[in-house]
Amino acid sequence: MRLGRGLDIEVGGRPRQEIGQVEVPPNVGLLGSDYPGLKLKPRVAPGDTVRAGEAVLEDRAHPALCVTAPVTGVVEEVIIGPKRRISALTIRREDGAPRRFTLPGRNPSRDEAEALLLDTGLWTAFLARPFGRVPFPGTAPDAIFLTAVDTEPGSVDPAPLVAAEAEPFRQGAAFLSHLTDGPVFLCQGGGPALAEPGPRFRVENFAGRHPAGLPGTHIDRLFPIGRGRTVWQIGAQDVIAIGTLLETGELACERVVALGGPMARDPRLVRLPLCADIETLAAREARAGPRRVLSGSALSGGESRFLRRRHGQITLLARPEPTLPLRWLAGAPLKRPPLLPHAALERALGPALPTIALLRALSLGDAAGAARLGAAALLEDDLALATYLSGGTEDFGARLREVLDVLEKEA
Amino acid sequence: MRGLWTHATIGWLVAAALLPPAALLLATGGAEATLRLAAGLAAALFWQLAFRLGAGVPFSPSGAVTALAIALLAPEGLTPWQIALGASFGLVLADLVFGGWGRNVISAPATALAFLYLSYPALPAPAPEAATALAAAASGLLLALSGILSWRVAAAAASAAALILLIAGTPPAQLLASGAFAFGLVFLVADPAGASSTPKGRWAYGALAGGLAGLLAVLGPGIASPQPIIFGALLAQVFAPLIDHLAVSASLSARARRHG
Repeated sequence: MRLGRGLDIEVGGRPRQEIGQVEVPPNVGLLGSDYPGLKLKPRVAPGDTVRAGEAVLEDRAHPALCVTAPVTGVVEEVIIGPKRRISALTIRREDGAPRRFTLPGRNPSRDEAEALLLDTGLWTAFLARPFGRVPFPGTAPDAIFLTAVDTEPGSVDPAPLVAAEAEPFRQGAAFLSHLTDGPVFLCQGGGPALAEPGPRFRVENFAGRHPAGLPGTHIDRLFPIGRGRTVWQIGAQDVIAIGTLLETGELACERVVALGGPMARDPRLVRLPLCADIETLAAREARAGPRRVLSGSALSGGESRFLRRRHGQITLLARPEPTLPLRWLAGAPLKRPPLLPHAALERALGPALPTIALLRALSLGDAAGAARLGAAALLEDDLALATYLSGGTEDFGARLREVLDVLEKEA
Repeated sequence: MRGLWTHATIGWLVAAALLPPAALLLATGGAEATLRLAAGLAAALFWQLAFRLGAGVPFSPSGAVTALAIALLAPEGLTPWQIALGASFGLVLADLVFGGWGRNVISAPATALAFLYLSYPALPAPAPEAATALAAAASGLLLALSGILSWRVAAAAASAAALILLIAGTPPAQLLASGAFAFGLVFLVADPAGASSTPKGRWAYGALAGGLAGLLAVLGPGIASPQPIIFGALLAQVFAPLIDHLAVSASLSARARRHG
């Protein structure tokens, strides 16, 4: 399938698609905001020793739903944010064996499959749509989307990674069908099928400019959300991790991450633990000068000390000098510039939704209106190009999250 | 991250697109044209700054469109004060009181020109010629390539106007030679703030504006005069929100039929 809309953005410092050496930073940090919909509380205290794969955070409502440590080490800090939510939990890496898991038999039941993913924390790799949150235990989606294509500027091409780990990927992909009675879609960027199609396993190719690689675009084309449907999405590297778990009984906590951007000294792919401390990494990897360290792409990422759970890239940008307004204008208050519906905005959304009407509803915080226009099926990254194309007057991704929170409460 | 298309950059791009017709006007119109343009620009600058300082409305160079549109298309023989009054009427009442370019419904230049034509019906209308049409086409190309002007609007409006002329027995070639139609098409009809904003709505809106312009031309002063495209644009802009509403409803119900 080909997306006619979209736009490819050049930010500079596009990484070479080869995995290079890197000095892994000593800390990792799990961020509470990476698990939308969960109310997390800590299971450990600062000073505790944890093994990779052990639960460190759990959901208050579903204690089985937990976030596991991506490294073996010592818990350093547990930072509590507003409403007693976990803001971050940091762990300092130390040597030590990871936790081993008991695996179910060759053909697990749905409950066994769910229990294994919950226990290992791999469950939290899923995001459910509508509302874009971590799915609750005991729920099953109508379809699962496995994304093995990435069109964000300067991203990792997942296809070679999958090809290098073909067997774990195949096993992980097959495992997904234990979680749903519906289809599993493997969305890839072209080339030979990364896994054999089956009766409930479909392989689809997506070509075109960004956002051709976003799950939101794929879901809208292949299995649109409506009539009470739920869809889960997961990335290729997390599926490889499921397969590796099934082969070895250990949790694979490293991911291949693109390190790029105009301030990167050597733009390349690197292998890092999940949730690595990217500010420390940037201190070594960035050119001299003021910089911004983004988790994610220049388009949809944001400044963060730690790599976010579902981000596969780090972008190092120059920090622009703040510009001062003209002195005689400085005192006058300034309204936000209005959204101009110029022609290029038609390219902004992957899903075929009324773009301008949707952006206006989001801008006004009109949850009911935005829902009528299809907002419930979207996630923040689906709107990153709209923010870019509208000149950044408004962060539509953040507005969407507010609307999703309202809609989820009402649902 | 934000791209090039900030409100201010779009305003400057539109102002840059004004350069070919503005240069032509100044080169051929002599002192009177310069005075008309200067009066419009002074009024636009004054109100833009007044609303920037007094009400926090972002400054936009798009006010220059109103100034040039008046200098080019307003009735002949207006005094600079009348020009400034017309520009003020259009900019303030159609644009700035709503919060600036992008929050308005009808476009400031079309409103200003309509005001001047209705206020001074006895004055003769200018008829800019093919050279202006060529300059406006260059402007349109720049705006379309920079992703500001919707080619759907322009294509629909030009085809609808040509169709009406053809039906009425006027040679549609007159359309190509009309500087007023070309300038109005690019800067009044295809103004992103006034035009419809859905792909299907843009076809309908463009066809409505072009069709009305063709009809007014056939029934009245002919396509070489500015009035048909001015009033065609203005009337179509009044209906643009309704067209968008219908287009969105239609696409949502089509979507619901397809997959609930």
